[in-house]
Amino acid sequence: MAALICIFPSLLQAQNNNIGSQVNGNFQMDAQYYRVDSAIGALPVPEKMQMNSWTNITYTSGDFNAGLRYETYLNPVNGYDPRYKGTGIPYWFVDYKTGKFQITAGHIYEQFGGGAIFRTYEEHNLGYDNSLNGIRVKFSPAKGVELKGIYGTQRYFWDKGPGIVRGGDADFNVNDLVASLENSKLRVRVGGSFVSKYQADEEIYNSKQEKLILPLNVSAGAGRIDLGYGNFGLNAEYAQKINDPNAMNNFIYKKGESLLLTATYNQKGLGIIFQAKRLDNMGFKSKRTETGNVLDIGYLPAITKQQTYTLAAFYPYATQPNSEMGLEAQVNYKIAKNTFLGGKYGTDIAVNFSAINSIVKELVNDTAIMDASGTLGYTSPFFKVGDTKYFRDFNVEIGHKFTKSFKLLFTYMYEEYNTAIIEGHIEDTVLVHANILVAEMTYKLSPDKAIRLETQALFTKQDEGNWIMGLLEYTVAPKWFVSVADQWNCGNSDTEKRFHYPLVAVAYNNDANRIQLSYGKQREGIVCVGGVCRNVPASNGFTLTITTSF
Amino acid sequence: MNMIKINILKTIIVAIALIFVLASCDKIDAPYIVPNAPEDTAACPVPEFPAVTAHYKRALIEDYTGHTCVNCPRAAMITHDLKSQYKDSVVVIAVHAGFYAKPSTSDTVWAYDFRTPAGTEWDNVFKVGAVGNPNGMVNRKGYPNNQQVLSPPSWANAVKNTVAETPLMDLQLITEYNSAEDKLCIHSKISFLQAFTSRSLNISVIITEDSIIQAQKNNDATVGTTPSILKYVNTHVMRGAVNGIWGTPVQLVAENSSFAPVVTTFKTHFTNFNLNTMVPKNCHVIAFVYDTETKEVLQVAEAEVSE
Repeated sequence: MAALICIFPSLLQAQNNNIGSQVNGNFQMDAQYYRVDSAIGALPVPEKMQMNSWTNITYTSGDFNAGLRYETYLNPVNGYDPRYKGTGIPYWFVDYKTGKFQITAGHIYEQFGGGAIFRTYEEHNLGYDNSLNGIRVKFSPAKGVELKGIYGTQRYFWDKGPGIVRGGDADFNVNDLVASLENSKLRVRVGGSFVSKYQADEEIYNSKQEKLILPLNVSAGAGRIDLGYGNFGLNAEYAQKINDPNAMNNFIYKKGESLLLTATYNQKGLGIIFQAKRLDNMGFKSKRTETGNVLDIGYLPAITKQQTYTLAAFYPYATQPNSEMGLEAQVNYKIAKNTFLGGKYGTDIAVNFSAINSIVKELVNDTAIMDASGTLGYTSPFFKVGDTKYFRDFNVEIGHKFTKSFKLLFTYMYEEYNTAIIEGHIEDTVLVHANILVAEMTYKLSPDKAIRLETQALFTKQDEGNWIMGLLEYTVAPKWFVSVADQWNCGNSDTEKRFHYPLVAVAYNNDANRIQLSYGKQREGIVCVGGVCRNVPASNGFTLTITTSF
Repeated sequence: MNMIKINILKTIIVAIALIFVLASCDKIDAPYIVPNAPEDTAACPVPEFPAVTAHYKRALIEDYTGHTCVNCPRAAMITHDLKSQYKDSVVVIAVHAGFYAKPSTSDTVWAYDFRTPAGTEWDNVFKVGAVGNPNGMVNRKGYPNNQQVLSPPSWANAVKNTVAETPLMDLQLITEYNSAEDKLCIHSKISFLQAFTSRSLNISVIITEDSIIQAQKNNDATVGTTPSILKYVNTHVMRGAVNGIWGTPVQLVAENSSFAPVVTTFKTHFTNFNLNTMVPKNCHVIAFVYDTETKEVLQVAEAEVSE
């Protein structure tokens, strides 16, 4: 690493005259100053102030790329895993292309197909980074063929995970390979990947104190096909993983499998997406005793709509890697302008529905115990849907521009949310039923000044009861932004817990630089992954955010 | 005019940012020290420690738990299994701390408070609960490199590796309890087995209690009823620290290439812990010696409270 840092300036010097060379970077700092607020449960923070920051620098010169990221968490802000505490350069890479090869050494973000058996990525705002520290080779022997190979270990906070991950992926664009299909309306793309994880043996016992015989090498394979014909598209990816006893699945030896089907239709003014998914024992990490949100080798996306409005995002679904079955359908329709319902500018309508249930689990034999460690765990008929509801979401979004300066967006949402499954903790009521209404109005006062008002309401008899929220935002483009918001837990059954969570923010933008100062209260939350739950304490205080890029 | 307004706003933002930094200070008023409690061990005559011929390293599992943590009974089963397997070579402390150990103020079923000041402070420092419950540490290894928190399935391997190490010292523990006076005398003896360069060592003495029957949340049907076990039998529950949250320094005296044995006596009373419900015969005394810099536990011993 030190060598890389030393080489950098000379590289810059050497390449500066080269027209194709470029240095880019970005920076973000989030510093929070905490105040004690015993009412909402904001506890004293010994440091009083905590800060997360990262700086990315990338250098590009023709077919050569290099980059690094400096991170500092002193100490990690509220809600981040405390194991991020520290400062350093956890990410750097060099990459070059030569002929049909591309070589990357260092830390790698890569994905095979949809990512079911391999995806490394970074999501700073979620405190997630599972980058692979190793090498990647890409080889394109012919047009329409791409082969990839990876080999390395994964990031584990400031260290590396104990497992070695290696794998390969082949992707074929059939239209490029078969001359008769070159100009066909039918577009076909197929691919396949294989990943294997090695981890040294260790002592793990079942409840009868019998030592488990652990597989040191665990492999997974996936195949995918992508078809397109005119406005229609169909994508399928199936993945399978051999016995992988781990802390997430309670050390059972059943194979894992997943299937994701996506069908789309698009034409002017109409878009339809339909997705179906089945997941069974697909938690795949490069450390078998790990229960946290780290070291994932595979990526299992949720096929539910990602809600952006605060109250609509109160009960977000999280994929259950151990097992789930579900479907999602979304229709986007634009009512043409200059019609009765479309008005002068047209009306956008989006309807979305998703449903996630358990899978059916059956005992391996009459004497077996379901999910017992050191056994196959269970069997499961592939096409049968389980009875336990995990999640339901039906939502309608209507957007209409009334005049050149006034726009209204209206959202209605009905949700059912299984706290026991999704949050991993059992309360008196397992299923939360919630109705959510959101109205968002944007009014342009002048070409550079706009006011945005959000009103939101969440109605539920379970959990913390009803919430309402208002947000008023004033923007003076391109420099200034001010917003005032309040969330009020007006329907909490415990009248002493009917708290307000205000948030005031002011931001100043200067080209690609932004400085934002906000004051607010954050409610407490619970995050559960793999049978381990942690409380994200409530907070009350100031946040200073600076972002810049060049 | 506009320019002036914007400059004022910029200045305000910068000023508030500065206040941020300036406000991050603690003003301490006198007294500046926490006085040591006077130690009166005269009533605890030091007994003869039996000779030890076989020396072995013991492992300390700290299981950070809470009575409202649904996944914790399963972790407690793991400590139970390891204890049965390794017998005296494994010492367990169930530390109730953090969010899931908070007693309910509105529901009497969950109102019992298992927490102790020492357990809470340890949890703050080692960040176990912040990573999540259940989690724990084995001999506090991995601190301060952020690797001290271990998930329950990984405890077995960590214990196996720890007990296989050559011990740096032997630690013996003798307890004498006089119920009439509620006087608990604890005698510890550290015998160094290897030469080592000077390390700053502390000894911590802890009281744990078994057979505390209280309600516990649970989601594992193989352990008990779900979602709650109303009469859950808690074991190894940390009740308090006898000699402070971080223990007391071990007074090292050089002898040959190592150090002379260190015998220390502690005297305490169950009433000190302000827990009238404690049953002395269900209690254990645990002592562990650790490196004050790395916090690694080098040796641990456990003794029943005997009259």
